[in-house]
Amino acid sequence: MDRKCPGSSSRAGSDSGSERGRSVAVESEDDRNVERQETVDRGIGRHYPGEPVVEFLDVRCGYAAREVISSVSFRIRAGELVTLLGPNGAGKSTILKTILGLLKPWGGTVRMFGRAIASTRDFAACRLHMAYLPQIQTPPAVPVTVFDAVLLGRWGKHFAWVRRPHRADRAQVYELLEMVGMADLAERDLRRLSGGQRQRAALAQALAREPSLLLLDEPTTYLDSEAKQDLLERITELHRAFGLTTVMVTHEQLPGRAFDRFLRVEAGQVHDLSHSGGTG
Amino acid sequence: MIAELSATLSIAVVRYALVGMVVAGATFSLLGVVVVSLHLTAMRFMLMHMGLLGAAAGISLGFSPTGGALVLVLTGSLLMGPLGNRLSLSPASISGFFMTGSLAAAFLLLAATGARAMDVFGVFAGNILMLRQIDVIVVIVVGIVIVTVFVVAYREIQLVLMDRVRAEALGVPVEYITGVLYLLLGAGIAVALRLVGALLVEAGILLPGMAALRFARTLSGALLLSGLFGALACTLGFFAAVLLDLPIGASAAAASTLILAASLVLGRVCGVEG
Repeated sequence: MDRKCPGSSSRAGSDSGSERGRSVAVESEDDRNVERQETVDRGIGRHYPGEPVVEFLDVRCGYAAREVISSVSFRIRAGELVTLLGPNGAGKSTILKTILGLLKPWGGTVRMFGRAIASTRDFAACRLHMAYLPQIQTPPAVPVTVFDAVLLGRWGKHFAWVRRPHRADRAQVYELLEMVGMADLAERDLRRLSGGQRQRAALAQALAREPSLLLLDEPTTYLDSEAKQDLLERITELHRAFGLTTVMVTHEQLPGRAFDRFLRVEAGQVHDLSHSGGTG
Repeated sequence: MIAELSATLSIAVVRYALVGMVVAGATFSLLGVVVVSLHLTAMRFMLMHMGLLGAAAGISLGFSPTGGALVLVLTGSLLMGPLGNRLSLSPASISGFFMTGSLAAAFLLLAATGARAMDVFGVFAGNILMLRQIDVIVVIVVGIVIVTVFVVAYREIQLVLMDRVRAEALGVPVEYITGVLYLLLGAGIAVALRLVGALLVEAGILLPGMAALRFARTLSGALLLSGLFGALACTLGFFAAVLLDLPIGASAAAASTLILAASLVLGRVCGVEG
């Protein structure tokens, strides 16, 4: 597999992770200082391996009057593949939605890409560098081709409203469909696909955003064991190939060797199971 | 027959009726795809019942029943989105609440003032042959607004109809978009009620969308087919009404029902369902 992220030439400072790691090693100190200054200038989306991408400090959050996560602190570093593991209702998805900015924290500090998030505008800026893969959904109510579904992953970053997708956007979608083994299904209606195929299309849609941070919410739920294994392999392969920071929420124990860290979420609290010193 | 048609079409009010129906059929029907996709059928009934309350208020309190219906239909469509979000209720739940409440309030109002209930229902029959030039202009303007919204926000609407949560995660202003779609639906229903009553609401908005979604493979295809089916149903209904001396609204609704029935049969027989 091509280890260069599709569209990396056009990525606004999101060329992080393993590729970045190799190139950083041969850069001079001056180059690093220039890069770091650029990091400060751009603010969001650029980071070196090991730098914090997501930080929760005493964060509280919930729905309506019900607090779901209480005083949660943890840190996820650039290039890590982290699993948030825990039973249903423990607060895993709440954490993910807080990272995505879909839920506003009730208290504490959320830092994304090294910057404290204070407003919805900050979250909006962060969203350009994040992609989200939810658990398998019922087929959409409207007809949509696999190609269109993947292309929509680029919304907001590469096109929106009257700014239409370009030829380059379409080329990248084909490249991603090749990567997830769905090029021959590009014109197929999403509603006609199996659950496993829809999740692969959703993975391609997430990657179409050219994210620095990939958030996966129970992506293997409802898949049979073969489709589950296939999706997990693709996720870990693409995580390495693109040098992404990947956070996966799951309620079931998954094959462990692919993951850098396990964070256990229980009763609104987070515990680092891998003792790698990464918790906040 | 051609001479008879020509003579009929030489009357200005008939031409207005034809233009009004075809434009409404071709453009309001785009909303049918949204109604089916977002499961807003209950909302459509809710808006019609709110119209009933507005008409009852007009008759009981001495102002225009049609004006009262239009105001409440538009108010209902405006309130729908924010209330649903604020109270964390689905469109179906909110619709049920308002539908029952409106009906109860309408009957209580009529009972309290001694107004005749049948006068209220007259508003829902509509009368396309009473159309004035200004009414046709209103239909055209609402039609243009609907088409413009779909052209400008095509990808955004596609994302919202496809998966609301993922759309939010991408940063799409989902609440605003659904709010605009609800408002357009309210405007479409308000204008359709004024034109040919409740029947054209079905003929012009819902049924073409349902038929289109049987065949289309993309959202743009569904919108195009829906517009085509809507225009076809209204045109067929209009000419059938003129030639056979039938009520126009009922003829258009019948033509729309036939198109939907044909799409169901064809989709099954030819295996071309979208």
